[in-house]
Amino acid sequence: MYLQTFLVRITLLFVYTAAVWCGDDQRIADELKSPPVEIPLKSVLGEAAYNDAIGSNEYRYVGNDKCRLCHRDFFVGRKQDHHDHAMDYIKESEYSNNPKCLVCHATGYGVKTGFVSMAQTPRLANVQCEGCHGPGSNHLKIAAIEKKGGGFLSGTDRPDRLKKMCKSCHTARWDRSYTDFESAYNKYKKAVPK
Amino acid sequence: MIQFWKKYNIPVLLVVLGLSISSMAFYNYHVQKNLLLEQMKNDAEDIVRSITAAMDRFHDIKSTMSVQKLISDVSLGLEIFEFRYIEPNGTIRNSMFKEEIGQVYETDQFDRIIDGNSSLGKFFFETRDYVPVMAIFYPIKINGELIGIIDLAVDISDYKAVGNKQTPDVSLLRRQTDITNLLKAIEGSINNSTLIYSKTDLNDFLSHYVETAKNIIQISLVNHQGKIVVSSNKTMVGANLRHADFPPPILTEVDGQPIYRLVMPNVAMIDGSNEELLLLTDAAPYVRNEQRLLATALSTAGIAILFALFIARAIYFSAINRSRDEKERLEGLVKERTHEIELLSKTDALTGLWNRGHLEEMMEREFKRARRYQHDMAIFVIDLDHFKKINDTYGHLGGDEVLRQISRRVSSCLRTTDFIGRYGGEEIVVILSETTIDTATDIAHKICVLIASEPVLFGETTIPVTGSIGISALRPEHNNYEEIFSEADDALYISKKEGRNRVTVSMHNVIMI
Repeated sequence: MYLQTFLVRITLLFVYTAAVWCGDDQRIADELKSPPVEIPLKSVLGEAAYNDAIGSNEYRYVGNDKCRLCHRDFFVGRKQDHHDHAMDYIKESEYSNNPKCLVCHATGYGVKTGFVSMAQTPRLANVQCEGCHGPGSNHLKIAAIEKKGGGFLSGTDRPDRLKKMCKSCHTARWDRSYTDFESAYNKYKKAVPK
Repeated sequence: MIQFWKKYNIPVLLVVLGLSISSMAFYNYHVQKNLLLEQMKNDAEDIVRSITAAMDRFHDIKSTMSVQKLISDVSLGLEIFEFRYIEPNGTIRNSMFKEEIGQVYETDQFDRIIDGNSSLGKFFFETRDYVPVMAIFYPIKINGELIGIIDLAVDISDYKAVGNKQTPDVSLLRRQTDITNLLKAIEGSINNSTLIYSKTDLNDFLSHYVETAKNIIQISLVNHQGKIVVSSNKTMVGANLRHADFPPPILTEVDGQPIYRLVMPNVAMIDGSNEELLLLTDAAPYVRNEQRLLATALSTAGIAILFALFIARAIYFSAINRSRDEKERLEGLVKERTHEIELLSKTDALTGLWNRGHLEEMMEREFKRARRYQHDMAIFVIDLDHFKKINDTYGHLGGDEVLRQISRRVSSCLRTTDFIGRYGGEEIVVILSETTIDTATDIAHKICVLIASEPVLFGETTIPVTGSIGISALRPEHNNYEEIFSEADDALYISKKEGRNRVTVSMHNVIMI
């Protein structure tokens, strides 16, 4: 009985891996053929608001070391999550410098002060806090002076924007990591998203 | 009740008005006083806020010298992964993670140092929060004595030589030099801070604050045991206050000086404790203003009551005067009416002459007077001739008119001292005081002539009239007026008998002549 179950499980795992492997190839090919991906923050805010915010220099990427100063539990929690290893999936591959991939595998790629390359901005690799919430410098300033939260372009006070940020990378082609968006979204409200 | 109201409505209303104004004055006093008190409370609270803000600033100033501020600033500004200041016994005194302050620092590497298995001031590599770091425990010493350990770690995940602890990458070695330089600078800063920190005193700060501020007498910080820990009055430090000494904001007196006391709970201190701030301010201005308000209220009430009393008095006297005037007027009216009634009772309605009753009374009086003072007195009786015939011919109305007009003619011949009355029917009697028989005779002749001088006009008709007169005067043998009257009447009878329209003097008087 146990053996049967084990064999079934192994078989299923192989089938799934094969499907994913083949599926990835196909998805990557489709992605490369698609038009350039828009920067998530820009698509969420709209071009004018995006240009105003980023152009003002109030919003700069600071890296998750600074987030850790107050949100250490989230820092530790996210270290155990796929988002914090997003770059691992592409950094050894031929796509490590492909903008279409970096837009969703690094933090703030394409945005001023955001990720540029592993050589220049290694601290902004992977999808960190600012990858979804936007640049954190304004929040840092508010938190340091007024001892309170807020100040993000896509903060928890604007779940509409935040959900759009999620969906801008987790598209129909790449959203295999979840089936129910809302439950996945709610899961990420916790420090350790399990 | 209604009677009482009718009688005293005005005084009652005035008293009510006076009391209302007084009540309003005192209500106003009460409101103003509360406003003053509220204002003083607000002022005191503002002062407390100002003090706490100043204390925060003071703490800030001290904090800039403190390690915590240094660590927070460095952590925020530099690429530093972990930064702590640990006391030699392992307690975390300052950290970039505020939640771990006060906890005992426990890691394998640190334990080795505590145990003496590893030495301070050397870089080492380990993983913290899933991140590879290069760290150092750097000793801080003053005069050779270890006062703390700085734990500083940098993220080296982007360095290629991670893991090769024995021969680090050149860039890592350069980084180590930078960190060492930074730590030396921090060490110097900590040494300075510790020195200045030990010299600054919150008591002095508060004392100076009180000296420069107006109206503040004392600022003290009291801990939960009721002990004064900091005070602008240094002699108070260490004193114990019972908790009952902290009622809500209150006015009190210390050595005869009015004091306002405010206790602000939960004033956060730099060391994380919460203490009560006791503020004593000078309440003399409030007391002065409150006394002024009270004086104003009292004088307003006094003026209102006096005003009401004066008005009441004025109304009272006005009413009395009016009542007196009315009484006098009524008395005058009564007197007048009485006189009129008296006159009516003494006069003849038809001719307006005195009537018979009064005539007899006057004859009696004049007789007695003349007798007493031995004065002259004469009486004559006038009787209209053929008066019955006149009545018959012209009617009684004609007769009445004749009587009226003849009465007027006779009256016009008399002096003011003479007395004329209708004795009855067509007989008219005249009393002449202080008059001799001769004078009386002259007057009688004039009257006789005047009566006959022209006829009486009655409507369109003229009525010829004549009169007969009999005269008598007082003589010593007369015992009463009736005797004189009787003699005049006798003389009249003679006039009638001798043909009328003439004057006849009583024969007794003639004999005397």
